[in-house]
Amino acid sequence: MFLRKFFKENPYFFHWIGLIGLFGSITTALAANYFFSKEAIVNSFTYSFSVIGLDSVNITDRLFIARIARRVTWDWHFYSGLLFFFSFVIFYIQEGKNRLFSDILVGVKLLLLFVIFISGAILYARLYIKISPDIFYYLKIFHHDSVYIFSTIIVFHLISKIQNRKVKN
Amino acid sequence: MKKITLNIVAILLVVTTYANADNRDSWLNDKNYIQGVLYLKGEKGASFIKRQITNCPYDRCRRANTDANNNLATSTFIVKKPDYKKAIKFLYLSSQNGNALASDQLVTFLKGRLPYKMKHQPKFVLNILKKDTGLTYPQYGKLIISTAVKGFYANGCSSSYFYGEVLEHGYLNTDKNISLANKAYSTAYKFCPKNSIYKMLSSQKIKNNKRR
Repeated sequence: MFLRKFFKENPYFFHWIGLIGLFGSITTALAANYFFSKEAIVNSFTYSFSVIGLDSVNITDRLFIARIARRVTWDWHFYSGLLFFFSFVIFYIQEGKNRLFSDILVGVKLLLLFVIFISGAILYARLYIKISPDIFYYLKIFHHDSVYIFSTIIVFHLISKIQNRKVKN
Repeated sequence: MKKITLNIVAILLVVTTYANADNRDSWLNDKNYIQGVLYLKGEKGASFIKRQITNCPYDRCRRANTDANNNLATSTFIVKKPDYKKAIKFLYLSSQNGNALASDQLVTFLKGRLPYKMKHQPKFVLNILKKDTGLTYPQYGKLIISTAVKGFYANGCSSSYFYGEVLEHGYLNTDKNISLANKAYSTAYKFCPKNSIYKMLSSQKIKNNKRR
């Protein structure tokens, strides 16, 4: 009873929870692909290994160290992605089942979310199941491209919300 | 023969394959092999590069800093960079003349330059490979496999094992050939020194492949 009342009074609760998941996914992705990318870490070894006399460590070993250093980032990326996906699915279900099928934009957003989540989950699941290198490679491209498209939709979403607020005021 | 430091002599003796006593002396004395190892270890032809790093306020950076007049925010290090291109050239020549030691050295070196088991290579690793050795990915594949083949037929240790791995799993776009892979593993097992990891690994591989 209390929960029903709470969610009725706070219809955007899961939207904001999902936003936390989205920020988590974005920050971990930025960290893993740019600031703490394999390349950035391996390049930093050029300096640190020289100082401590480890110049003889070869590139493949340096790459391995860089991968190990980043593995926790991917765990948190996955957890944030889970939070993001399920929060928004619950949010849209709460909004009204009819809207899922009548509003094309909502349908596209959910479809993209689904594609991002499934591709990301399979990428993460290679810890537990064997995935061929080719499938992994193309899933990564698929995951990245879906994220770029989804990001564009988010930007338009934000712009439309700001404009609606201006109109209301 | 130019002056060879004690550690180079030690390296040359340690990597000797076990049962090639007749050829071992000629391999060790091979001019191309000696030149290759000298270039590879940076004993000859190494360049000293200045590298600068910002945002390192730690004591180690200050101690390693070679430029006392530099501002505190930047540390300068001198890094020794061996001439890998010349090393590869000399070791390859020696390997093609049937020197198993040269094949082993070259294969071991090249294995460490690229995660060869990966089908899709990270771009930055390919860039580093090109910059340090002058090799593109296809050139790398041809070089390491041709060296491994020569090493296998000359009863090399690490080169035979590597050749077996490549044939067993089809790495570097090679066609799989389990029977030839087993022959390569057997060669590695027979000719690797007792304490060599490749001897242990190849015996495991032979046992596993028998079960298939």
